[in-house]
Amino acid sequence: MRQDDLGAVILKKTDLASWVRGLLGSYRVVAPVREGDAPLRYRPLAVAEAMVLDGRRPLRAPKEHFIPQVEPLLAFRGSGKALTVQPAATGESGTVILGVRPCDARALGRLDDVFLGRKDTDTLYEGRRKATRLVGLACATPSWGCFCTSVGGSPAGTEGLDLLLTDLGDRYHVSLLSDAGRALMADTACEPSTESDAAAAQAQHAAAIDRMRVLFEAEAIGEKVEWDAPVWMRHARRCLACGACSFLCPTCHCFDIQDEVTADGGLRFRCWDTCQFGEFTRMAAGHNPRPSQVERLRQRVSHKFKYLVEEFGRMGCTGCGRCVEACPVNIDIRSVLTEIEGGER
Amino acid sequence: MNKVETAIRETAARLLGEGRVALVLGYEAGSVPFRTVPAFVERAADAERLVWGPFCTNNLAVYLPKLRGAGRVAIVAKGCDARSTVGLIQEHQIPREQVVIVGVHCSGMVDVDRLLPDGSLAGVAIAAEADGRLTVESGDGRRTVAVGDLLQARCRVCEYNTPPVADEIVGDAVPPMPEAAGAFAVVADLARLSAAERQAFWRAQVERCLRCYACREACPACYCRTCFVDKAAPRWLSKASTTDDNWMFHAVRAFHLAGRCVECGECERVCPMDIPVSKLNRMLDREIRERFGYVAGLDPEAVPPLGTFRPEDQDPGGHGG
Repeated sequence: MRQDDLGAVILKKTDLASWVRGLLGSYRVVAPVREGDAPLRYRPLAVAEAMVLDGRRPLRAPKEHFIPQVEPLLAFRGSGKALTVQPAATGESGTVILGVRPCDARALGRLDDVFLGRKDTDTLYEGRRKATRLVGLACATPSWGCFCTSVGGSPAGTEGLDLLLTDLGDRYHVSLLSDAGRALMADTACEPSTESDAAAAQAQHAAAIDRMRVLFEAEAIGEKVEWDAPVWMRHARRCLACGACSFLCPTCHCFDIQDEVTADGGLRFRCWDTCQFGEFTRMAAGHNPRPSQVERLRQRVSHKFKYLVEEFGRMGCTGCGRCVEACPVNIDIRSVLTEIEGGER
Repeated sequence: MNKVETAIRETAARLLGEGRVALVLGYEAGSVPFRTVPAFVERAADAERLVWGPFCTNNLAVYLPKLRGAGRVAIVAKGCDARSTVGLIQEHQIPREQVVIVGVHCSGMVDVDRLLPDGSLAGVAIAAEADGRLTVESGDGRRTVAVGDLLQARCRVCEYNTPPVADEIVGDAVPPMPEAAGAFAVVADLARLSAAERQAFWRAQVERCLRCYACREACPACYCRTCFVDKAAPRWLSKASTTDDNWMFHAVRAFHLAGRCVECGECERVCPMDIPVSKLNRMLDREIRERFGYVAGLDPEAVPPLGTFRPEDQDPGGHGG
């Protein structure tokens, strides 16, 4: 395993700020930040001290730094033969995202499937992905909606990460997971990780995994997803049709494209959209092929656990649990999947 | 099982059994011990699914407009749910004779974030004791907490924890909520600010709005068949979630709820970004009470101030003021 090849180092917490300051000299650094009384959110870091690495996983995944909620695609001016089109600028500066949870890092692989894994690649997404290094933070205390271990992940998973930090009290155990990750640690005061450090990190990982129960065999669920099943109606009846689940989801990626025209030009942008909104599938003439929440809830679950598996061989869920915790009416995807797996239809 | 829960089940079974209602809206166990979910009970035998306790947080009135045509519906209603139901009756969203309000005396609902602030509720078990306490058992041990210490902010200042309108009422009377007299204290700081300062405050809050519309969808008074933000032709509001557009959404929604909002606080509870949405409504409610002497959701026969015109009304925002 690469983790063993590249080894690990120890970063004392007293050296954390100076390490981040070093990164700030060479990169744009994004990290969990608390602004006023607002919840933790991944934001560009101005000073190293603003970073908050402990506490719950941020409410919003770092997804927004790869597919922003609103993203200009092109601007246009004039009309007719005098029309000029200015495509959105590409060319991202080197970015490091700190404190990425393993579920969210893994989710970026699922976004790669969609934006890079088909015939045409999404150049805006690709530019940001290539320019960004990910520094993970192992979850010591899974939150109540978390279910990463039920979808093949782990609170200490390393997929997609360049480094993984494990909080050992007064220091971080830093697993070096890629050459790029090793480079991030090159100029800072690190100590080698001893056998007892490695054992302490592993014990913490094991304890976090222990706290989570594997609820279902997610790989097999896609085959059990049925078009006409009472499970959809049962849960959709109380669904309020908001977009909280989709917009917090680290793998939901559907977007709308809009042109906004002013007197002498305009802007084409894309913005997050969700299959949970009625407007999402409403046709210009008024017909809506998904007329109720039954069809919309079926779409969201089927897309993640059936259609993406059929197309890319892996599902569009990494068990971060945000949808579970945010749903106003406690539609718990874990229950939906358990019922599907149990053939409860 | 608590006394109120037993009474709710008996009432539901009776109403369904006698054919007086086609459906009972209530609460049933959720996926975790600290959540319940809205229940749609259609057979007397299923009434035993219904539960009652300090986690029955949803305002069930939100489903009433969607259940038009489902026959007569009984709704298990806390004070806030009952007031929302009154609003829907006033506004002809559900005929009075189509709804049976089963009122429940309420002592407030638990704020899950206060129950375990770090969110580490995995595997937790919760038992409600008769004396208003909860026993919380998790991997970290067992502790007993008082529901009164964990209440949601909106419940602490609730003025109508006894449903003001009900067809039947279950359970014993409960004392008023301790901070009910200070219902508007939560916006006192905001009210002291200048208009420009308030604008700055709200812009800073709505900057993080996701436009997921959970606030709107959870609101019983937000029942427009097509919300202005969803109109595509013409598009009144950009789909780009800029601070300007977010603020436009929240401001227009707040105005639309003036004199109609019953401060159930669902908008704020469901906001995944922790935006204090309900303070906007409370600010406007403060105005409505001062200028029109009107409290929403108390009388199905009353006409809400913005639903009528009286020559003697004050006109502070118009040419006369």
